[in-house]
Amino acid sequence: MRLDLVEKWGLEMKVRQGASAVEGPSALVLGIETSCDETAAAVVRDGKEILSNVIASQVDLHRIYGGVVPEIASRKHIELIMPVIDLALKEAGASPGDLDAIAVTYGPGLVGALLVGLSAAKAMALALGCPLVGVNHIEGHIYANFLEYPEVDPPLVCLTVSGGHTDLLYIDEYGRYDILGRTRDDAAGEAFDKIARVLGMDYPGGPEIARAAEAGDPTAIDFPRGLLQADTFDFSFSGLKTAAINYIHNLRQRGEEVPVADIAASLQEAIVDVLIAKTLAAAQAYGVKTIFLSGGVAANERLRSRLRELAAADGIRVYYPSKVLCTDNAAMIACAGYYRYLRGERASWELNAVPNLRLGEG
Amino acid sequence: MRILAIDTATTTGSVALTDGEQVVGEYLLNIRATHSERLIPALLRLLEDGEWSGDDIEGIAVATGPGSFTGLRIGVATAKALAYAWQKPLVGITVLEGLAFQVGFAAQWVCSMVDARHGEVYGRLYRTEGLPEAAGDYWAGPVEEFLQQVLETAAGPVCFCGDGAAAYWDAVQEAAGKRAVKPVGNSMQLRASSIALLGRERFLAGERDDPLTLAPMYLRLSEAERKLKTRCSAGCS
Ligand SMILES: [Zn+2]
Repeated sequence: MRLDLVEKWGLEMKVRQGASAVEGPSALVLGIETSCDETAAAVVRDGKEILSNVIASQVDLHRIYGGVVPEIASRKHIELIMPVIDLALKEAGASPGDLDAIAVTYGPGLVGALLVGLSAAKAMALALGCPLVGVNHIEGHIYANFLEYPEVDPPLVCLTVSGGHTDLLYIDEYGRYDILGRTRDDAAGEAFDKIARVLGMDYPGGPEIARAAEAGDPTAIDFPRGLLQADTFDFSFSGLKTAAINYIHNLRQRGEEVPVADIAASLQEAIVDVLIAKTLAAAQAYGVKTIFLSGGVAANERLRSRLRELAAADGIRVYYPSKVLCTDNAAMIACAGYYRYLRGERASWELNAVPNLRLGEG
Repeated sequence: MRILAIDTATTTGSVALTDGEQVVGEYLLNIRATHSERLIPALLRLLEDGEWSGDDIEGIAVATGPGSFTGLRIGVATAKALAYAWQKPLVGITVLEGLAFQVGFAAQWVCSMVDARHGEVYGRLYRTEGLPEAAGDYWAGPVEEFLQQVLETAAGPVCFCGDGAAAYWDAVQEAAGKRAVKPVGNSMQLRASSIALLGRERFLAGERDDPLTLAPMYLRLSEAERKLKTRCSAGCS
């Protein structure tokens, strides 16, 4: 079914082994996610069993622009939304009538992009007569961990890092979030992307920097570590961004060779240092023994391994989702939506996209 | 045939239910609130007042554009998902054809125009004999140029309709003079019932669109694509 689209847009399918057709009394939630440049739909049973997880990435489409172009993203979402939903249902072996709830991302994100998924979700819920649940995208990223490790319970500290956000949270029970800190300027992933661009790397820059860093010396350049010593859980990456860009420009002006690998390794180290220090400090301050890592930058190996290593010394366990669940996906939205559904939360038909939605609001 | 129709192309948004050639119900709002907030509540209210359930609907028609890019996507996404979940046939009708249909009785030549802002319109010229028939290509660009083209093609009076005609009526009058026919105000705004009735014609002719792939008709590239194109034609590679 629709193999042309699978090939054309690189639809990625991830079906967990052991997932069987729909049977037995359980809640099936369809998740829909269109907040940025991924059109995604997933069917998840009881908030933990992924029956399907379809992600159509537009990353190639935006590469020539060096970043996500909102109007182009929205146009692609409207083309892909129904094929992606259809594929998610078929992969799950479910028909629309089997669904118990529709969960959809309504913010934060690009407003035009969010509206495509939100409109489709509302219409599906209306037509099927099943509840509509609005989900915060960041909350979705957090639930990617609960999805993968259903046995882990709060209290915990969660660091969500991606191209759009850097949020440090304390979660003392399901559905309750205390925002301890967030970035005061650029998101961590944004800093990666922008510096990668100056280095002439492809968009998105994070994975490119990580690849280049493997051959570099992380101590080669002493880039600034914003707010590292400050008594706050907030982050700041604009100083680092400016320092790195100036460093590269100066070398170029003098006609000297740009040591890409060393810059990448040192830059990654500076970002990872700050992320880890703040996260560990938060875990200590709140006396928790569990740390969640989520969001696109949670796929960064250096961040994963160093945080795990340092945390282990304090007897703290670190969890992060598998890579497909680190990127924007709808399984995490279905999972977060399932818990809201269990709590009896229902979205109004007037639900609108909220581009700057914050956790704990609405 | 019982049809549900949706239009969210401009700030005017409407939903309608038609049965055969009759309008059962229609709900139109021209306010600032976003279509995202008002479309489903309007639809629910109309279904309830018309005492229709999903089972009563035999087809869905949606205005595909041109118009506000975001507005179009709200309507098209909603129509596609309804058609998919209800398993009903779907058809897309252009805003320009819908507008021409509304004044079919008034003039033989109808020029539909949607405001594209900054002195530009989306438009098309139609000949109407009951149903509109296209008499030119789709247009997206400066209103004056379009008017000139339209007046050269059409013979005699031309009825100008749509929010583009309303916004640039001075330009219309200047270009067309006495040949300009202005419809009454409520014919200037698209109504979903027109989309429904045109949809019915399409369904009866055995036509339908794919609820998985139906896309809005923008008639214009995104800003970023246009800039890239200009840069490239100015000599990048
Ligand atoms: Zn994300």
